[in-house]
Amino acid sequence: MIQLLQNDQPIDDKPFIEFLKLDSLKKKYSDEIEKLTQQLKKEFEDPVEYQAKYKMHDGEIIKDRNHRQVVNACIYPFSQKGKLTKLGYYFIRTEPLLEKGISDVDFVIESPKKQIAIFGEAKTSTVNASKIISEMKTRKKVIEENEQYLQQTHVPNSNKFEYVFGTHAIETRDLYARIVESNEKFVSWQYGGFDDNSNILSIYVPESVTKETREKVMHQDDELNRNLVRVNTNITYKNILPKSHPLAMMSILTWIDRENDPDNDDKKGTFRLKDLLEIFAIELEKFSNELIEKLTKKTIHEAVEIGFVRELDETDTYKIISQSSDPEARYEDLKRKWIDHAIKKAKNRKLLEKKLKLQSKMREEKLRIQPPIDSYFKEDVSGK
Amino acid sequence: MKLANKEYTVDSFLEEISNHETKYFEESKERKWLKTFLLYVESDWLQLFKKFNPEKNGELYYFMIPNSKEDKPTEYYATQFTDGLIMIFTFETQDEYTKTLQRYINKKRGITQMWIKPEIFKQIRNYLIENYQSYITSFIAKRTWSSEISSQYRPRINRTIHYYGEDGIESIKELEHLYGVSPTLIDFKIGSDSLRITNEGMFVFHTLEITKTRIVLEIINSILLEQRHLHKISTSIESHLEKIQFGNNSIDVRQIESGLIKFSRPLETILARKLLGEANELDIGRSQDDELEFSFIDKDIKDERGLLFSATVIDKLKSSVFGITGTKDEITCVPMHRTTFESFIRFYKLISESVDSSAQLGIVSDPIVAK
Repeated sequence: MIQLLQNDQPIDDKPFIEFLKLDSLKKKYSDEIEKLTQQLKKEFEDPVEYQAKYKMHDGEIIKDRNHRQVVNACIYPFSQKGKLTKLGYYFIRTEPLLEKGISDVDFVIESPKKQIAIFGEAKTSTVNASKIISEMKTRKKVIEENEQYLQQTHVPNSNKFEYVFGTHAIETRDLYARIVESNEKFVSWQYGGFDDNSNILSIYVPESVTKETREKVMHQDDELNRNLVRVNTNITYKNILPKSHPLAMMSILTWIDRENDPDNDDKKGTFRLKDLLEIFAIELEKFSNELIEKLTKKTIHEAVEIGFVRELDETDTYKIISQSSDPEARYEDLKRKWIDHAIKKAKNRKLLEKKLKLQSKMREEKLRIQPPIDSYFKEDVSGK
Repeated sequence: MKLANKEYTVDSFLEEISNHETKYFEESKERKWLKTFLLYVESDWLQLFKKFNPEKNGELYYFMIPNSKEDKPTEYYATQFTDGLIMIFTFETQDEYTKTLQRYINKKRGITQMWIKPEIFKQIRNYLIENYQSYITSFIAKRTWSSEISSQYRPRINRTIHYYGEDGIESIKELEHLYGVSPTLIDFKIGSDSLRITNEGMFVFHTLEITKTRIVLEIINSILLEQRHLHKISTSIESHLEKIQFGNNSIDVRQIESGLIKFSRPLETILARKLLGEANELDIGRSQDDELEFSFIDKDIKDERGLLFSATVIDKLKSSVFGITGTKDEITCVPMHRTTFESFIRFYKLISESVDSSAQLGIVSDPIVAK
C-alpha cells in the first residue's frame, strides 16, 4: 500500500536557500535542484518511460480484476438460483471482519439450515503455496477468536466453521498437494476445467483419497460435496470489493449519472452522493452503513482529486468531467486520468525524497564551511 | 385521427375503420396508411402511457403525443393483445411515429419494440405466401460480416440490399444463399392490396379492408408461442433480496437469475473481440446501431486455454447495467443495476444479428435443451 503524504506539494525552496546564505552554496543547491528536476522529468515524462509506468499501473488494475474474478467465481453459485441455493447455501458477504479492521478472508457463505459457515480465500497465484497456507492458518485463528462477533453479525446460525481456497484450475492441484502436506483442514475449490476455460466451479478432490484425508479436504456436508461439481458460475458479479483498486471503485462513475433518466433530462452528466451510495450498498451488501458511506465518499474524493469529477454548488452533487457521455469512452478517460495522477504523485514523492536528501547534504556542507557561531565560544583548554 | 367513441375490441375497431373509410379519410392530400406496432411491455403497461392521459374506449385506449414541430399532436390507439404484448394502431407517418412514440419507447424503461428473430420472420413470410398466395414486391435484407450464415460470395462483408421486383419470393431466397443476407423488411402483395412487415414488429397496411387488416392478428397468433417465450425468459432475468425462513429465524440473501445465450456453434475469439469493441484494427468495428445502444467497460478477453471473456455492459438507452461472462459456447448475462427485461432482449438481438442468428436465449437455472 502506498503511503499518502500529507502534502504532496513540492517543498518551497526559498526558506532553505535563505538559510544557506553563502552564494556558493546557494548556487550549488539551485544547480542540483535543476539537475534533479531534469532527471525526474526524463524519468517520468519521457514517452518510453511513461509507457513503461503506464503499463505497470495497468498491470495492477488487471491483477486486481483477476482477483475479483476468482472471488466472483466462488460466490456467484451461492446467489444464482440453482443446486447450491436449493441446498440452502447462500453467499453472505465479502470480508466479514472488515468492520473490526482485522485480517480477513475474501468471502463467507452460510447454510443456516445446516448451521455451517464457509470462509474462503480466492487466490490468483499459488506460487508461494506455503505462505498462502500459513496466512490462512492465521486467518482461521482470527476467525475462531471472533466467533462470537461473527455469530452476532453475519453468520448467526452457524456453529461449524469451514475454510476454503478458490483457485484457477491450473493452480488447484499444486495447492491441494501442499494443503495435504500441511495437514490443515482446508477445502479446495477449482474454477474452470483442467483442459479449458469453462465457466464452472467444482470442489477438487483426487479420486483415491484416504478416509482420513477426505475428512480434511472435503466439506462436512456430503450433500454439498456431491453438488459442488461443475456448477455454473461467473466471473462477473460484484464490480467492487472493499479493497478493490481505486479504478474499479471509480469505474461505477462511468455509468452512474442520471443522464439517461427520462424524468431528469436537465441533469446530464451529474449524480448525487445518494445515487452512488445506493449502488455501493448493493455491491457491498451487508456492510455497515458507516463503512459503505466511508468507501463511497473516499471514491468520490479520489475522483475529484484526479480531475474526473467536479463538485457542484448543490449539496452533495457532482458532475462527471469527461469529453464523452459514453461509458466506454469515459472509462478510458478515467483510467488515463488515474494513471497520470499516480505517475505525477510518484514523481512528486521522489522529488520530495531527493530534495530532502539534498537539503540534508547541503546542511552538512554548510556546517563544515561555516560552523555555528557558538563553536567559537567553546572552551579552549589550549588557551588563546 | 380519432375514431368515434365506442367500446371497441380489436375486431370492432378494425371493423369501424373498414366500414367508415370515407368518414375518416375524406379528401386528405396525403393518404395515411394504417400502422400497427407490436411492443413488449411489463405487466402494468397502461402506467407506461400515464403521462399521455389515455382515454378508454373499451379494450382500446386513445392517447395523443405532442409533436414539437407540428401544431397537431400525433394520435395513437393502444391495446393489450396478451400479457406482456401490446399493439399500437396509428395513421401517423413513419417519420411522425419515429419522432414521437418511438422516441418515447426507446428511452422508457419497461417497453420495447417487439423484435422478431430471423427464423420467426421467415415463418411469417412463409405463412403469408402459403395462406394468402401473396407475393413479395420488395424487401430490405442485411448481413453483418461476422454472421455465421453462409454466403457464397465474400462472407466477411457488411451489406444491405434493397430489392424491388415482382419476383421477390425467389430473389429473397437467391440473395440469402448468394450473399448471406437476412430480410428485415418485406413488402407483400395480397390480391390488390399490400402489406409491409418489419422484423421490429411494424405492420403497414395499404388498405383498410378488414379481411386484410385482420391478418396482423393471425400473424401474431402464429408466432405468439415463441414471442411469449422470449418475453417470459427476459422478464425472469433479475436480481433481488429474498428473505429465507427457517424455523423462527430468517436471513436476507441475494437471489439472482441470469440470462444464458447459447451459441449454435463455437464462437471464434475474433468475434468476441468484435462484440466488445476490440476488433477495430481490422477496420470492422461495431455498426452505428450497436454503438448507439450498448457500451462495454472493464473488458477482459483471455484466450490461452480457450476463450473466456467478460465485461460490464451498459444499455445506454435504458440505463441498465449487467455483466457478461462468455466462453466459446455461451454468454451469461448477470443483472447488476436497474436492469429491465428489454435490455436483455436487445442484447440477445445484438448477438443474433452480429454473431449467431441461431443462438438461443434461456436462463441459467433452466437452460435450453438443444433442439
